[in-house]
Amino acid sequence: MSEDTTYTIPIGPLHPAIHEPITLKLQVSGEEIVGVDVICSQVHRGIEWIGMNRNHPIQSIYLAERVCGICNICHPLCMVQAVEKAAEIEVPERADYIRTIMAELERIHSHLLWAGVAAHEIGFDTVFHYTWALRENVMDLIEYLTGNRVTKAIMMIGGVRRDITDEGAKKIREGMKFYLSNFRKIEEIFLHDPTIKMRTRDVGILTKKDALELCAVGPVARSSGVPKDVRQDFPYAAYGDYGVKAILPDQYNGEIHGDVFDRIIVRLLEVKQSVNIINWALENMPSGPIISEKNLVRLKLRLKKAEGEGVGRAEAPRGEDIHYVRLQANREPFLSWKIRAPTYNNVLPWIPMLLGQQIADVPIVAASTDPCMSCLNRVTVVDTDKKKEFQITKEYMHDLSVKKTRRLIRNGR
Amino acid sequence: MVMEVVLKNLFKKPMTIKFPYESIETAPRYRGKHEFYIDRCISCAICQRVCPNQAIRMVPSKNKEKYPKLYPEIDLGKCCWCGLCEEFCPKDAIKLTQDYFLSTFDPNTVILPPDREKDKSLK
Repeated sequence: MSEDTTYTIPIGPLHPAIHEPITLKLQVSGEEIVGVDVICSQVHRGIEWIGMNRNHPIQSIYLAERVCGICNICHPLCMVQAVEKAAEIEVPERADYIRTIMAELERIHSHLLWAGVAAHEIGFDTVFHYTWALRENVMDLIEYLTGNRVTKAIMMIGGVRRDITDEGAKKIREGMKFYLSNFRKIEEIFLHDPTIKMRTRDVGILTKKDALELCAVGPVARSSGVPKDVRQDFPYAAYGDYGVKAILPDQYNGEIHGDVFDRIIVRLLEVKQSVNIINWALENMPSGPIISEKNLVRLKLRLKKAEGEGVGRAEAPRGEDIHYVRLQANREPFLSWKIRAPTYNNVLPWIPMLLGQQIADVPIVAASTDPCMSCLNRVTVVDTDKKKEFQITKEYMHDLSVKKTRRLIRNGR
Repeated sequence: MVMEVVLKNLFKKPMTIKFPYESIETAPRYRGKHEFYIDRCISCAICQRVCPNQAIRMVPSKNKEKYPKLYPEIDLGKCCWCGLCEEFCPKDAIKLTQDYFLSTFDPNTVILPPDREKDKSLK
């Protein structure tokens, strides 16, 4: 076999190693990956369309919650911030603190979920069950505080819907104590285990330059040494009072590789950071109302009259999440609603990460960005065969379209 | 060391429960099956207009002499359990209970008519 011979291996749209629909076309030469093509947008659900045509803003909060099952605080939080800016609605301080606590609880559960999935991807199922058993604690806490484990339905424009009672605060403190006492064990499993280190050290490297050029966000960017965190750069909710510092892997062992192992370090340290933020927020939570407009019917009328545009930004567990909202007077649905989910930025870095790796590393490298395809749902076509670069032109598309029509006609008879 | 763990696990109670016969207590804020108090309802239809999934429809009741107006009929199959109907209701006529036994074989029981009989077993 000559050395130039490459084969294309399609992975997905539905594949057991990738939990959500996305297609990867890998060009391999032997066992080495030489070209990657990512084809996204196979779970388009028309969420923005519903928000712009059918729902009024209050209903859209619960739609935003369903953009992603795991980031179901960040998306509504982001949307609510955008609407509050557009309609100039104040948020009481206590609501800001409750939002912070909920967002951090979500981060703990998302990062632990990710750690379990990563362990599962490298075939370490004991650790997978162990981390998910630990995660159960924060899920119970979330259920106690909001009434539901997943779709929490706690956000409201101008505040939150449910308060944290004294008993709730006590339960949160107990839960945080549980995580602090168990943190050493998680750290030992993930950061001192030779198996995990072998499979993840110097695998899927994303350099700082690539991370900046491809606009990676969240833990993926931070593990490549880019100190980028919305909570630090553009504080929202109560983060401004706390002063979050972006976590880089060199805080743990003084070196930055930008590989999968560094992403594990960043996420585990962020769990600890979240515990500290929650403890701080509980200590410093001011008393007062939790929502600025108690009469929800009046709030609905006010939103109908409002006009303007707003952008909401939030640091989801996967990175920066942006919602753009435009309101028009006497029109109940949004005039415009655009969601930019963090996975959108984190899919492009897959290409430099995967090039030069082995096929067996694809699941862990893909999983290391914590992808969420249902968040993504936008079209991105990337071609990275280095030897023959080509762009899809209008003529080419037209040609393809004509060919397909002819084929259909031929096969139709 | 290994034997210790094995013995410990042998005599430990199982993590699972026998579900239909036993059940885990829900959180106090849990949002389950809707309870509707028809006497309190003023037929303002706010619940219908606010429901994100359009699971609520205003229909006439069976007992038209006593309840002549339109009352909410809830489709549990469409409901997303956000609790907005409960929160928006000016007369507290809709309450979400702790009941989560919702699976059924009969599709007709998924739609809750406004003048249904009250479930006595609920809290």
